[in-house]
Amino acid sequence: MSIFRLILRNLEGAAFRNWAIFLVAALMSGFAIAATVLIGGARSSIRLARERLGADIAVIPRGTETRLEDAFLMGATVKMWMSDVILEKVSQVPGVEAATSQRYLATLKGVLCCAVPDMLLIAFDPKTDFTIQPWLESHHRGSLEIGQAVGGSFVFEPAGSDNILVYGYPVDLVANLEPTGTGIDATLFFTYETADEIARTSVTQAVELLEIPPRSISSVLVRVEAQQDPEKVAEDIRRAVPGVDVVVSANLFQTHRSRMNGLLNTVSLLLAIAWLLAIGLIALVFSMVITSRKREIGVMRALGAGRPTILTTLLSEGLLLALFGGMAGIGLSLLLIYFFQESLIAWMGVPFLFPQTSALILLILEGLAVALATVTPAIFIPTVKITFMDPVLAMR
Amino acid sequence: MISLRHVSRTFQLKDRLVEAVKDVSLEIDRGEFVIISGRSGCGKSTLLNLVAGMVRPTSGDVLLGDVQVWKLPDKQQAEFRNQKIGFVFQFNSLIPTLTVLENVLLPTIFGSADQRRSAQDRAMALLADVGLSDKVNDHPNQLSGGQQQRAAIARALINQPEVLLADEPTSNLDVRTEAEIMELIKALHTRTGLTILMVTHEPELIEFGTRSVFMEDGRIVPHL
Repeated sequence: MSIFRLILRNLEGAAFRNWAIFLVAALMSGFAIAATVLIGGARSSIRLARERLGADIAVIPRGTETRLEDAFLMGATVKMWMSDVILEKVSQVPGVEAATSQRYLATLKGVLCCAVPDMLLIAFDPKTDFTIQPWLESHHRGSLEIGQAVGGSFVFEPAGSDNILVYGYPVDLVANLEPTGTGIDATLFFTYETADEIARTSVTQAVELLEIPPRSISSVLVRVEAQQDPEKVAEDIRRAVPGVDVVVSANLFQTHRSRMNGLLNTVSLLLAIAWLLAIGLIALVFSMVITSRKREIGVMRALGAGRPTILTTLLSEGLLLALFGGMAGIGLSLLLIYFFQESLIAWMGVPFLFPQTSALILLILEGLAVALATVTPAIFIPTVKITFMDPVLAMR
Repeated sequence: MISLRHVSRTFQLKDRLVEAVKDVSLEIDRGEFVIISGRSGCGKSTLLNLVAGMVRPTSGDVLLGDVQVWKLPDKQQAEFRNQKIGFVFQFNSLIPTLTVLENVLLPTIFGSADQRRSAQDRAMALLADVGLSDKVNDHPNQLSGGQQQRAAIARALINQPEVLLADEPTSNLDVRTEAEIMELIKALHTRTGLTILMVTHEPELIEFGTRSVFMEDGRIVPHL
C-alpha cells in the first residue's frame, strides 16, 4: 500500500468525476492545440511563402495584389501581365540592388504529377533571378537547363514516367523545394526558355494552348540595397513607374494575415470563454465529489494523514485526470488536423503547414499546460477547503 | 496514561454558546479499559476527540502520556495520532474504494518507513485475529456491519498504538453483533493490555470494561 496506490484506487472509485474532468481537460487541450496548430501553421506558411518569394518588394500589374497572394498561398489560378519595360524602369530606381521578372503562366487542372489537383507554373529569368537561383546553386549545384524544372514539395513525376508532361512538353523534375504549406508546394518553376518551348509545343501537342503575350511579364521582384528602407524604395518605384502596384514584402499577404488575425481573435475569445466555463464545471464536479468524501477525508486525518498528504492526494487525483485527458485531447486533435488538413485549409481560407517534430513537442507540452491550467485552479479551492477542515466536523 | 484536568469545551452554535464538556477531570492508567457512557449529546464524543487532540479544550489540560496533543503543530499531531492512537469510529469509516486489506494498511502509508516494514504480515495477522482472513480482498460494501467494524478494529491496531479510542463502535449493530464486537475488544484488551477508552450510549456495555464513567450534560457524574 502506498499513497500512489491510494490515488489510483480513489480514481477507480469516482467514475462520474473522472469522466467529467477527463473530458473537459481533453476538450480544452484539444481545442487549444487545434487553434495553435492551425494558426501557427498558417503563420509559418505565410512566412515561408514570403521567404520563398525572396524579394523585398514585388511590382505587379495594378489591382492584382490579392490575386498574387491567392496564387502564392492557395494555388489559385492567376493571369496577370504587364510590359517587360517595367523591369528596366524598376532596375533604374535608386536603392534597387537587383530586379528580376517572373511569368505566372497558368494553373494546370487535374494533373497527374502533383499531390494536389491543380499546379501553378512559374517561369523565371535565370540571368537576373535571385529567388530560385541561389537555392538551385546550393541544392542542385547549377542552373536549370531547357526542359528542366524545380517543383514544390507536392510535385512529383507520375508513376512509370521520368518526366512531367506540361502542355504536351516533357519536363524533367530535377529537385523539390522544402514544404511551405502554400500554393508554392504545388508550383513548377522553370526558365523563360523552357516556358517558350512549352508554348511552342502546346500549339501541336496540347489540347489547350499555352499563350504567353509577347514582351510580357507577370511581376518584377526587387531586392533593395543594404541600409535602404524598402518602404522608401517602394515609394520611389511608385513615382517612377506609374500604373503598377508596388508591394513591400513585409506587407505581402496582408489579406490572409488579416483573415488569420480575425480568426485568431475569435478563437482566443472562444478559448477564454471555454476555459472559464471548464474551470467552473470542474470546480462544481470536484466540489460535489469532495463533499461526498468529507467523512472519508476526516477519517484519514484522524488516522494520521497530515494536511500535505491529503492535499497531495486530492490534487494528484485531479492532475492525473487532467494529464490523461490532456493527452487524449492533444492526440485526437492532432490526428484530426493531420488527416483533415485539406478540408480545414479550404474551410479557413488560409494556407497551412503541419508542424515539424520539434514544434510538435512544444505544442504537446503547451496542450498539457492548458489541461493543467484548467484543472488546477478548479480543484485547488475545494481541495484546500477540505484539507483545512476540522477532521471532527468532516467526519460528521 | 491519559489525564484530563478541569477540561471544558465550548462550541459556538449559531448565536449561542454550547458547553459540551464542563470541568471534567479524569485519570486513566496504562492498561485500563475505560468505558464512558451517557445519553446522546452528553459530551462523551467531544471528550474522546479532546483526548485525541482533534478538538482543543477551551480550558484545562488534556495529556496523553506527557503530551498535550492539541498543542502540537499539525504535522506532529498527525504523526502522534498515527503512531500512538488507534481509532475505531461509529460506522462507515472504511474507505469504500479500498479492499479490506488495503483499509487495514491505510494508516501505515501516513507513517514512517519503519511502520510500513512488514505491515502486510501484521495486517494479515490482525485480520486473522478478527476473523476476516477470507475477506482480505473484499471491498467494504461486501461486508456486514459487524465485519466492517472488525476490519476497523484491525486497522486501528496496525501501527501498534499505545491507546485505542473507540467512539460508539457498536451503535449501528444488532444485539448479537454488538456482543461479538465487545467480546472481541475485551479479548484484545485481555491479550495485549492495551489502554482502551470507549464511549457508548448503551449502559449495558459497561460490563465489558475494567472501569466505567458516566457523563451527563457535559459533566462526569457518580454512578447511579
